[in-house]
Formats: sequence, structure tokens, C-alpha cells
Amino acid sequence: MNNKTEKDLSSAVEKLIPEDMYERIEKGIVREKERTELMTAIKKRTNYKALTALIAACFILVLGIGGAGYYRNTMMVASIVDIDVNPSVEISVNRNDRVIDVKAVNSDGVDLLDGMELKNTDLDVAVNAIIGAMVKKGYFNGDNSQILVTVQNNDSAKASEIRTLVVSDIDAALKANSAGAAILNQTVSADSDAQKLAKEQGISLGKAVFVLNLAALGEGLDPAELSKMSLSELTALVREKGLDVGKIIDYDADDSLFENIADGIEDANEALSPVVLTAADAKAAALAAAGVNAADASFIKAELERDDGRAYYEIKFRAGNTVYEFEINAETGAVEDREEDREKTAVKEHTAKLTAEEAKAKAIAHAGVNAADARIIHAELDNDDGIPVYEVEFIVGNTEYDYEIHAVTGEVLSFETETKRSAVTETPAEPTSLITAEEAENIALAHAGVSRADASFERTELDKDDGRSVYEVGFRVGKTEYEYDIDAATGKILEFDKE
Amino acid sequence: MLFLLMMETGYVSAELSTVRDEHILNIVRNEPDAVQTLYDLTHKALYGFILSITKDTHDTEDALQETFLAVYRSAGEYKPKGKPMAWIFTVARNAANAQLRKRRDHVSFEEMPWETEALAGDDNKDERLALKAALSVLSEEERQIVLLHAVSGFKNREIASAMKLPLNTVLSKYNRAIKKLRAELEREE
Repeated sequence: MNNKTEKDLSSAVEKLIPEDMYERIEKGIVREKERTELMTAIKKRTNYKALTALIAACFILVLGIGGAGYYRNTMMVASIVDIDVNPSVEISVNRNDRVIDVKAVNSDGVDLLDGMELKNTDLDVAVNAIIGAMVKKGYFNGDNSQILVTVQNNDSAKASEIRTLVVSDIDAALKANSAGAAILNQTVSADSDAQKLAKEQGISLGKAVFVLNLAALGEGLDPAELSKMSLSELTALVREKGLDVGKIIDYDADDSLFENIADGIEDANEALSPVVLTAADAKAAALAAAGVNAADASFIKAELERDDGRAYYEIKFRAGNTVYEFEINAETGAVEDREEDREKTAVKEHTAKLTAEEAKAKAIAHAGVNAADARIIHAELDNDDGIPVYEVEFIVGNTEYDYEIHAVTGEVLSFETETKRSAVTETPAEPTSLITAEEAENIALAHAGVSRADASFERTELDKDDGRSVYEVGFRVGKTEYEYDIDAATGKILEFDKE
Repeated sequence: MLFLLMMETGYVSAELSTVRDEHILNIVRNEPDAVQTLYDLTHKALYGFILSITKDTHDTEDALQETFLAVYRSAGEYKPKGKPMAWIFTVARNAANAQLRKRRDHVSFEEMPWETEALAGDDNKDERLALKAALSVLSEEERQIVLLHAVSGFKNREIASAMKLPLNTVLSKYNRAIKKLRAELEREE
């Protein structure tokens, strides 16, 4: 009776779940991703500032930079509005025209924005407040008052819509404050310039953007000539002419000029190269190209990579004893590169009691992952100071696990995990709260299966390792020394060593 | 008694028991398909759980969507303690309650669209009656327990952990709920 009723309930509920449920969730998540990507992109976006500053000197100008190419997939939703009157400010808004952030671009802008809280207001409210403040500070007292408004949105219709809105907002704000200025309109399709140059010169879109911006920065620089130069030649030129590339790329003073230029181009490429396929699409394309059934393949890697303005998935999978490696164009699904490798299956097994398979199983069980998800890189017998040890290395998703398994007892002697950050979106790992030293010790004790009373702690230190906070916990039980690295944000054991 | 109940619970939640900390950490790492994997493993159980709170399919869909969004957003704050499902259920409960608050003019159970739409093409009278009974005669807690049990194949101790209730409470409530359901179904027949 129970089972019958429960089974009825179960299938009744199952029928209620809409078929497109996951698609809806995915859409929500894509929007969420776009939002975070936008925030990153906004921080990086300095490309047009140099250009706009020049024009700002002459006119009140409204530029709608739009068109199909830019940020086609990643920035569907947002606009960036620059207002330059010498105090220059940059307003970034979401797709509902709500203000995400207002930033000063120069020092006058800093003064202007001082004490203003415009986040989360509507764009028209922010524009009104900014213009009002400019009037108060006397920026429109002269006869030749000038404002430059630059609107950026991937959709030219939306860009011009916002342009019209901002212009009428400014107009209203000026009138309300009894100030006046002439307004000129101009639409510039800057992206098609970059695309044209990229195509003509056979260079990446990112390099084309950089070259165009560089040409705008210095006199007598020809974009076509610059396009033909290598990165090191460009670097030499920038150095020789003393050009301030900080205006057109994010400049990191810790890096060399060359690295900065290379990064700037890569950033532009990342923002510009379209990604249409999901990782699952790319996997399917690779399987089809290899003629392998999905059921027979175990995936080792499916990662979005970017290289010189092209976005592609690197897909790696094993079928039988063959490892396939594909590069799938993330926009078109075309196979751009493929490799096949037959692997040798020679594993040394001397004095060991465990087989390599058993060692693998131990490591996988210890990691708490599914054997099906783990792609073994190698499992080899080694001699570590006379102790036969299996070195087992495997990957689950982005994480690489490195184990040493005692080949006689099967004991886990040490392990290490390393997580590769995905290339797609780097969520800034800002730990909201860190665990305490005591919690870290408890995690280590629990893992070692040792009670606190039996352990004598030698050190527990909070360290910064590669931008993340890590507790180093060391203690001794009798003659055995335990060493742990524990992620202070997640409580995850990153490294473990026992002697 | 406890042993008997455990035996009685029937099919085992093969899917849910494979949800690990790693599944949530993979989301933090932005791994491709991480969310989809988690969705595949959990959505049915979560749907049943949320439905038991909202009693409305539209609310359930919205809250389920919000649940995965919230998991995606706050996966970084998840502290891996080997109880990912308890965390996810907390998120789902919050989403369901928020949805209830949001929808003031709540569609009453009698007018629920699933009756006319979702199951219209399906003439399995038993399934329809079972769901109707579960949604009408059971208390919210009983409904949650029964749906978790039935839909997700959760074991009672897993339900206890997800709902943060003592195992004994879950066991007695489950018993009572099943009796109530049986009585209601017999009355219908």
C-alpha cells in the first residue's frame, strides 16, 4: 500500500515538472553570469576614453557605439554612459537602465561625485543629479559649455534609445537649473572599424582595438602599419614615443610593458570573441567527429580557451585505450584541431601488494569523488626512501588530485589538490568569512582520526597562498607528524602529509 | 520497528546519495555542466519538497528556479561539511517561503492548474488522487516528509537531516501521514 501510493505520488509529481525547467534555470544563470562578466568588463573598459576625451573638447556630442560585433553574447544586457564636461564620469547601467556603478574618470569627476550615492538609482535620476551638481559647481557658467555623452551598448537600437533618453534627461536637468547648452548627435560605429581592420590585416579583434586606440594616442601612427608590427615591436614603439598606454589598457605596474600590452589585447579578445556553444555542445561535436558513442567516452577535459581572438573548447576524452583531443570552435562548432593517442598500459608491479587499480580506487575513495568522474592521469609505482609508493594522479573537473598511496598497506601517505580556475568567468574569490584556527584544527583532527587530547599541536598559521587564505596546521601524535593545508574559506583540505 | 521501516521504504535514493560537496564546489570553480549535473541529481526531490510547501505548480517552478540561482550565487559561501543536501534544502525552503510571500493572491488547491492541465492527458486516476490527497489532508510537515520519501526516495534519516528534525519525529510523522493518506484514498474509492 505504501509503495503503491508512494509510487503514484512520485510519478504524479514527475509529470508536473515542465520539460523546459532546466532551460529556464540555465537562462537565469546565464543572466547572472552576464551580470558578473559585465562588472569585470566594465572595470576593463578603457578603450574609448582617449578617443572621447579628444572630441569632448569641441562639442556636445552623443555617440551611440553599437552594432552586432561587440559583446554579442556576454554583454547583451548592459549599457555604459560616459558624461564628459571635463569632470568626466562613467555610469554603468543594467538592462533595466538601473545604475550599477558611477565612477569618476578624472580628478574633477572625483570632486563632483564626492558624497553622491547613485548606485541602484534609475539612470535618469543619476543623470539629473550629476548635471545638477555640475551646474552648482559652475561648469555651465560660460558661453561655450560642453558635454560629451557616449553610450555603449551591443545593440545599436538600444544604444540610440538610451542616447535619446540621456540627452532629454540632460536637457531637462539643464533647463531645471536654468543652464543651457547646444546638443549635437552623432552615431559612430567604432566596432566595425576594428572588425574591418582585423579582417584586412589578418589580426585578432583585440589587437585591432588596441592598434586603433594606439593610433589615436600618438601622432602620425597609422593603424595599418601598427597592425603589421609584432607585440615586441609595438612595445618598443610605445617606449620610444613615450605613449601613455595606461589610457587604453588596464596597466599593472608590477608587470613589464610587454606583458601589459599582451594582457590588454587578450582582455579585448576575451570580451569580443563570441561563444555560442556550451561545453556540452562542444563535447557532442567532438564525439561526432571522432565517431565515438557518448556512452563509450569518458571525458578528461572540456574547457573554454581563448587564443588570439578565437574562442574554442579544448575537449579531451578517452574511449577504449585511445585518448582523443579536439579543439572545437566555440562559435561555429567546427573542428579546428584533433589528435589521437593510443596509450601504453605498462604499470610496474614489483614488491607492491596493491595493484595499481587498487591504489587508484583508494585514492578516489579518499578524495570522495565518483570513480566515473575521475580521469586517471597516471598511477605508477615508485620508491620513496625504500617505501614502495603508488603515485596516483587524476582529474575531476578542474581539480587535479595527486596522491601517494603506500603500496603495501594501502595507506594514503600524502595528497594534494590543485584547482585550475576556469577561463570563462573568474568569480573573484573573496572569502566572506574565514573559519577559525580551532575549526581548522578540528577539520585536520577529524581527517586524521585523532582526538585533540592525543595531538600536540606544533603550529596553526593563517597564510596567504596565491590569493587564498590557507591554514597551515601541523601536529604530532606520538612519532607521527601530520601536516595539513586547509582552505580558510571553505574548510577544504588542500594538502596533507604524514610522516 | 526502525528496522522494519527502513526495509519498507523501498527504492533507494541512488541519485541523491551521490550529491557531494564536490558538486557544489564545482559550481564555485565554474566548471562546465556543474549546475546541470546538480540539477539532474536533485531537481525531482526539490520539486517535490517545494511543492509540499507551496502546493502550487507555478510557485514551485518559480521557487525551483530561484533555488538553483541562489545555489549558483552563494555556492562560494557553502562550507563543505559533507552535507550538501541539507544546505540545498535550506536554500529551497527559503525560496519556497519567499515565493509564498510574493504571491498574496494564492491560487487555492482546488483550482490548481495541475489538476486540469498537467494531468489532463493522463488518465491515471490513482496518481492524481494520491497527489490530491497528499496536498489536501496532510499537514505541511507531513507532506514534506511523504513527498521527500516518495518522490526522491529519501530515507527517513536523510529526511531528518535535510529537515533538521529528530529521526524519531520523522518516523512517527511519516507513519501518521501514510495512515492519513490511506484513509483518505479509501474514502475516495
